[in-house]
Amino acid sequence: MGQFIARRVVLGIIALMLAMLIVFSLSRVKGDPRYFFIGEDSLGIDPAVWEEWGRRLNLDKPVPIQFALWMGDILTGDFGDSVTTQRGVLEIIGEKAPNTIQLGIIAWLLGTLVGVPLGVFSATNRGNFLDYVLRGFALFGQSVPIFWLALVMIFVFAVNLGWLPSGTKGEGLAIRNFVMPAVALAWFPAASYLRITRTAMLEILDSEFVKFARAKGVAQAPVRWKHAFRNAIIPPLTLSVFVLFGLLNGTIIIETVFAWPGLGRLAIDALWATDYPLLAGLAIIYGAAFVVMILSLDIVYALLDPRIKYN
Amino acid sequence: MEDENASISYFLGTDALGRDILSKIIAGARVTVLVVLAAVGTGIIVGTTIGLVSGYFGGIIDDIVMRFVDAWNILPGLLIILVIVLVLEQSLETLIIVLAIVSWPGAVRLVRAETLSLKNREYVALARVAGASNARIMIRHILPGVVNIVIVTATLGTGNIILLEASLSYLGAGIPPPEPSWGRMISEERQYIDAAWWTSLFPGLVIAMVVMSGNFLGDWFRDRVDPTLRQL
Amino acid sequence: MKILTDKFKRKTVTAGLLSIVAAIAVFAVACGGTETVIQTVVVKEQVPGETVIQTVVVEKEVQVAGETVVQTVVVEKEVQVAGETVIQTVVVEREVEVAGETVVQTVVVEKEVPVEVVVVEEVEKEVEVVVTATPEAMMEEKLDLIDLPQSKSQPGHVIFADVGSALGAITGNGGSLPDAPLGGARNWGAGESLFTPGDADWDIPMLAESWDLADDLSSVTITIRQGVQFHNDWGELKAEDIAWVMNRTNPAINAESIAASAANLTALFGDVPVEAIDDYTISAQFNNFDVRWASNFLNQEASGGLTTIATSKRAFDENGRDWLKDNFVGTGPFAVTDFKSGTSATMTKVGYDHWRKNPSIESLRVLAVPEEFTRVALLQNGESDVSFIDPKDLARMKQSGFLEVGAGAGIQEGVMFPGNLWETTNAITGEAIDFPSHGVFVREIPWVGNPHNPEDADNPSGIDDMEQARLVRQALARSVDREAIVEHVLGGVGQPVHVTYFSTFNPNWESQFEYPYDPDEAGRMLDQAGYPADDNGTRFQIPLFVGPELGGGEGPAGEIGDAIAGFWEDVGIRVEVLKYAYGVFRPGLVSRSTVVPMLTSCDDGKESYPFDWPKGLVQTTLTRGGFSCGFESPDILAWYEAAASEPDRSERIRINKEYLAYMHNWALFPGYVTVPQAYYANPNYIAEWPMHVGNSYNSPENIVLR
Repeated sequence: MGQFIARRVVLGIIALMLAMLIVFSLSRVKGDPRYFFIGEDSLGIDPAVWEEWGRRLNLDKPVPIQFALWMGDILTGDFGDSVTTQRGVLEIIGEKAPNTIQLGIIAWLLGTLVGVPLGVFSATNRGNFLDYVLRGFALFGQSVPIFWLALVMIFVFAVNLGWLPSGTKGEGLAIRNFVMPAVALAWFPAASYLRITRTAMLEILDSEFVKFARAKGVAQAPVRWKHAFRNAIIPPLTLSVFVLFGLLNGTIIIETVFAWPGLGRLAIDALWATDYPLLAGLAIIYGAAFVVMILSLDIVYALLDPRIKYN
Repeated sequence: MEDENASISYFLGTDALGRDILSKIIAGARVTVLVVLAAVGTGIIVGTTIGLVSGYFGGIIDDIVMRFVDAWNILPGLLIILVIVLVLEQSLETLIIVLAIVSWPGAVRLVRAETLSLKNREYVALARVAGASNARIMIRHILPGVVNIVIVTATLGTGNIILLEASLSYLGAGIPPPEPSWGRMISEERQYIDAAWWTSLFPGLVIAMVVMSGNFLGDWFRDRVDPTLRQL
Repeated sequence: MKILTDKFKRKTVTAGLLSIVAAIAVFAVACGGTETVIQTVVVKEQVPGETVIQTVVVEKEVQVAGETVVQTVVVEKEVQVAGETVIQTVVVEREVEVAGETVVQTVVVEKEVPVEVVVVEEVEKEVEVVVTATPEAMMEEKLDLIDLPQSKSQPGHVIFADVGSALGAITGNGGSLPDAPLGGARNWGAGESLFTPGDADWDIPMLAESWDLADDLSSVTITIRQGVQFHNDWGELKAEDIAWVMNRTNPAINAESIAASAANLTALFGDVPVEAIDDYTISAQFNNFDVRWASNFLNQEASGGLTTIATSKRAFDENGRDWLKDNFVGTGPFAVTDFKSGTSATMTKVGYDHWRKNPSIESLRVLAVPEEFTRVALLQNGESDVSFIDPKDLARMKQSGFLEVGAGAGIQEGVMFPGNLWETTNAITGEAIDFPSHGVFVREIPWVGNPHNPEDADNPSGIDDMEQARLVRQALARSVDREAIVEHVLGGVGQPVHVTYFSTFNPNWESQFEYPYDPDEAGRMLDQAGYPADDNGTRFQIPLFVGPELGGGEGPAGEIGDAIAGFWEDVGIRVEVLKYAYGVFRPGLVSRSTVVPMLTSCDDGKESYPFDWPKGLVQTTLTRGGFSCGFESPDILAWYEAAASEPDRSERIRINKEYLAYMHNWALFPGYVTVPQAYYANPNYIAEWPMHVGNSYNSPENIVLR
């Protein structure tokens, strides 16, 4: 098992370095990358400053060396300064990350706590009315653009009913401000969980050992929970890591709609301002976080399902 | 402001500039569907080819391909797509490219896995003994075995690509004007949700319906291909 | 009226006249009585033979007298088919009385149509007629009005929902210092400069008390106000603080400075540092004197975002550069007490008697809210007290009774035509510019005139390349209905612009410099310039860069660009509207190698800017190596240099009128519309918020609550 994990770690590091290569290449697609590193100014820039930036980006050296030096900086924790704010990239990300992590975890829990039980419920009630309602919800949930959903929620719950604030994170721990962004963000994952859990559950319920347990006369509820669910949990567990990761895509939109001060908003701001160091930093930090999550998943897998072989 | 609610000649009402919503939806369908199908098609063809080669030959080629697929998968997708649009300039072609980029790694993984299991089957071994070239084996013997799963994935993925295009439109990086697209219709009409809800509701519903149809179709196709996956 | 049609087409199957009548009739029944009539008429004509002449004349009259709206729509068509003459006449007259109950509609149709025609070619023609009664009447009827909310703010505290798309400075106005991009400071009442705009003059002393300009315009000595305190006990403002800020921002002195428009300071002062002579006096040597030194460059409302806002040097010395990025030590009536980059800023009233004005509110909290829908919702719910409102929603907010506040700012959107590089020497270096090798003249571009080699193959006889391109640009200026864009894209707010940099509201403006909307004249000009329409009705193709579509919340530039493109298409010019990041477009401008027209205000296209300011710096070789409008002219250079060093205002106005006439004639930068920068406040909470003239909001110390 140690060898298995070691191999996974090596693969993760290689993937991360290749991801850096992709990010680096994007900055060189248009030729001179300085346009991405120097902020917009309306009357041009002093030639001396321009040259200085050339030196700072090692533009006098061959491109592979440029990449190596850039990657070296990043590996030692130097992500450079944001173009627009002149602040360290890591510092900015560190500042915004907690807001996104809070929102992300709440949405993730919400999605899981709603989606998984409903999936189980749907599977054990297969074919009846509620099953169809839930499957309809799952399909619909995966079919609406979330920015539209978010705007409709603002219109209904903030503007019309006045129950919830329209946006922003509010002051201190404002739980009401979390409601709409978290629900909108959890919408898509909840639908995915429902579908996946239902399918996995049905497969297990159909399998020999559950039929056997049922034939032995074990009551319905224990069959559902003890035998079926424990085995059905693996696919949703896999999904959960991808959901957590995929929440970034969601936060980019949701944080823009709700004026939420997190990484998603930061990414969009950086994009609008063509703030390349910040964009690169975000992409790499996310990549690293995902590698870590996948590694943890591998370990949990190994503990949960002894059938997995390590090769 | 001139929003007209539904009337006889404007079945679904008109938008802020007095344009017929139904006409726009129909016109938007052409571009949206074209872009999405082109993107999914390109992504699937490229992904299948790479997956086939990677799985069949294995070794160093396989290693390189899979590491790049890994690398792509750990990057935050929407952000990277937006950066690519920024760098490549916004156009229909760029959009098709980025949406295709989204589809290919998934196809590579699937096709590679299928290829790995198929290439050791007896009939493949027999073909090799009979002197068939690698290309012939891949095209005639392995490809038919993977094509089903590819079509299922493509059908299921189409809905996600439409939604992605809508999200990109919302962020201003979708199908560029003046071509009408569903995503941009919702995006542009969002400020009238309170005053004229239908202008964004109908394109939203159309997207939802098309995505749902894609999912239904995908489910149905999957059940046909592999009855054990049937959702019962 | 292509603007209104977009690209989609409603298709009818058979020959067109019945569909005209049907569409009008059906529509008239469908909405009879309402004041807004939108008619989409599609004529799809099937005609045979080689000689086909189609004339579609659509006339409309809209008279609004009291409450009666009379509309007359006349459609006449003549179709000549292979010798046989077919005359079709359709007269549609409608009278609609709005307030009363009688709706009279008259539809007269006369037509003679040949029974059988052989289909050789299909011609599709789309005619769209939009008839609207007065906008006011329409708005009252149609707009979904918002009930005025009760503010949820704590008494004395004001919440402001701004766009905040730029990261560091949440108002996106650039930095006071390269290290501290708190450009918002001047908008938030936290930062103060040497000068500030007044009602007429823009060089009203703020932190400056008096100044002494050398007779030869080589230097200036400024005496600053005594007793002005920095926030948070950082002591009294001294001359060395101001000198330090100016030198640190000037890239010729501090190479680290990439503050927006920093090159302005380099142009003004060169690399000679500003000196503090004593505690309250600074002395500066001019490198290139510019009359705007006080009214713009060292001003609270400096253009391009450059602000030399007083900041404590001691705070920087003691805490260092990184600290300055999060903290702002200024002298305004408010202190920045909480700043989260890209998210929010809170300004709290200073605890002492402020030298200029003591605010009547306790605090101002500015939130960055990128989504327009959310900003409206916040205001509508009383969660924000003031919101930045996109032009599309302005009419609705106004009708609902929200309080409009603003600094009279408006951004002029014009189309500049790069590639017209007419100077032969570089004004900075004095070196000759090598034109034959210059890429912009390699191909024949319709809107680019080449004065260096005016005779090229495609010029019509008697017209050189300069005149040919001038006619093209004139046509591009005259083929756009500016009023329609104001009406339909900007919701009736904003106003037309004809020559960018010049407000039509300025008393010095003359109506002779307008470009009247005249597509026929534009067509004749294009014919004359040697660009007749081909078989498809196409004369030539033109791209139009309108800036990033990314960041759609940034304003209506994209829609204005689409509208202009639509009008150009109507006179037979195929337009490709380019929407991508400015960062990608910029290199071509800097290297003077692009010929792609761009929708922009090009730095100085601000409605509020005085008429007498020197115009056209960025239209000369003076900014080579940096930004420009893409075209360069020796005449503009002469006027700019004359105006920049001319102390007498009336003389500067005379110079600028010459520049204006030149720009109008050569149409290098025709304007189209001004987009207002407007904010709306909750009138149940805010009684008034007077501001000085500027580019954004300002002076929250003037807010008066109910």
